[in-house]
Amino acid sequence: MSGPLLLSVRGLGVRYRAEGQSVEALTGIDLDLHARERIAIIGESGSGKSTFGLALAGLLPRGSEVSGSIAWPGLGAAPKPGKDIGIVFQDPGSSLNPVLTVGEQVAEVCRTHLGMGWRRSYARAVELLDRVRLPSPEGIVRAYPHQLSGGQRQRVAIAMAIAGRPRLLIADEATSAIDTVVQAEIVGLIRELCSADALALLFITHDIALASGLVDRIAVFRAARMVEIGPAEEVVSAPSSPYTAALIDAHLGLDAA
Amino acid sequence: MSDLLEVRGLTKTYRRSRETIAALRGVDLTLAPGETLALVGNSGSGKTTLGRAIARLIEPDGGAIRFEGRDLLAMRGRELRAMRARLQIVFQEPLEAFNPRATVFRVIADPLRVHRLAGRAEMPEAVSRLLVRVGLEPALAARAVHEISGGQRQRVAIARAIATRPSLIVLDEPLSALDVSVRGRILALLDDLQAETGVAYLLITHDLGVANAVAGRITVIDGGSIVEEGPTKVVLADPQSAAARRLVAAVPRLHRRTEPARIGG
Repeated sequence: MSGPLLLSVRGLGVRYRAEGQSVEALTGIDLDLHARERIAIIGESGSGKSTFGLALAGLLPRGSEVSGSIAWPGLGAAPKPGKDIGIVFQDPGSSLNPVLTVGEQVAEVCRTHLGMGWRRSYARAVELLDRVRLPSPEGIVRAYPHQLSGGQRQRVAIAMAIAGRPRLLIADEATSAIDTVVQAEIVGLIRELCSADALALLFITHDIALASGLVDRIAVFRAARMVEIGPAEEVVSAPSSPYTAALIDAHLGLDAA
Repeated sequence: MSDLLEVRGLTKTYRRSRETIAALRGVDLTLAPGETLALVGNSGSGKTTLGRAIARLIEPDGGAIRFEGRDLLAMRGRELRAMRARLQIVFQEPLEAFNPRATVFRVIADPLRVHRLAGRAEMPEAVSRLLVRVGLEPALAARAVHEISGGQRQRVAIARAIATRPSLIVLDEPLSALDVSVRGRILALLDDLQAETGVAYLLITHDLGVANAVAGRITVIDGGSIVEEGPTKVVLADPQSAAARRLVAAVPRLHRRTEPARIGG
């Protein structure tokens, strides 16, 4: 499945400064991620799961105190966010620019990171909108974000995330704000794109069941620490941490209630 | 038993510049006293419009709603205000509508004052009792709404809803904004309150997993019409409509290690 080592995190710690106080957001995180490997970071609010994604993407807020190391042996150099790492957030409504068309925004990524001219970038944007399965991409390329549904906007955000041909895709609660049917479609799309483009995936979510059908390994975060990591089936079938077991118990599935 | 709520042929169309969107196309629905019915559908299915029409937050274009044997849509003035005490609604983030600096005390005291269920002198006692009933410390009353956790806020919203002793609470995605480990405790609270007071719930959700955990009966709405209705077990085990099949297939499943015995071939 997975390839050579892409990313190696050792002893990562992050502290945020807020109102004169220093708050521990992450502490002592070790993680190796291989090319083409899919890993889920599971956690609740305050677990540090989003901080971890932001730290990898180089998007931590200014003034954050970072300790430990993040190395990218698979890249040979420091990654360029938006190019080597694509990231998709929960709410595409706030990450997309409301006054630019969808096509302009996707094309902008191609222009910036792939050095294409404007016409080629725009043509590439149409291809990308097609790849994320948006209906009639030639028309939708001229649409503004508000004219699209939440699920369609999330597809645009995914198109932008993969436009720079990244090695790693980070999805941070990318399906939490949409209904279950669209969620299943978006997860299917992410799975397909990761396989086709040989992408590694960091899938950040509160939903361990959703993650269990998508990833190779699951890491569980709680209160700034990683409490468990292992192959997805192992973690779900025989969790070593009582906290993971509680999360699995809390899953609301279709078994007889 | 006679129905607590009876919706017949409800229609609602939204007009947006040149478009018209039929949000409800003749919806029928009934709810018995003390029952929990899940109203399940996708975004855009009409489920939120239906919940809001039942709570008299929007006016439907046509059809009828009877609540506690009376014509809900004809109610005006004092009768409508009295009905609001009996039919409450809890939203996904119910306290977003409040000034974040409002205290928990004010949020719970408001309906008690408006519906004259407690005078100024009894108010602190009445608010404390409601907080204890939803599993919160009475001391929380002094805190601002923005200072407390999401789970605590949802408990406060439930305390506010039960303050007026309703016979029906519309729960619009009550768990979606909560952490996984908090969801089960809120469900248990809703269960306890129902056992204690006989309140009925209309649970609006896009997630059949949530519906399965609380509701005895499920009704599926799609494109503004009810497309399927039945006991929860039956709908989940053998969904008939395309919409219900999509909803069933979309519920995330725990992918455990495959057991040696496989079903089918």
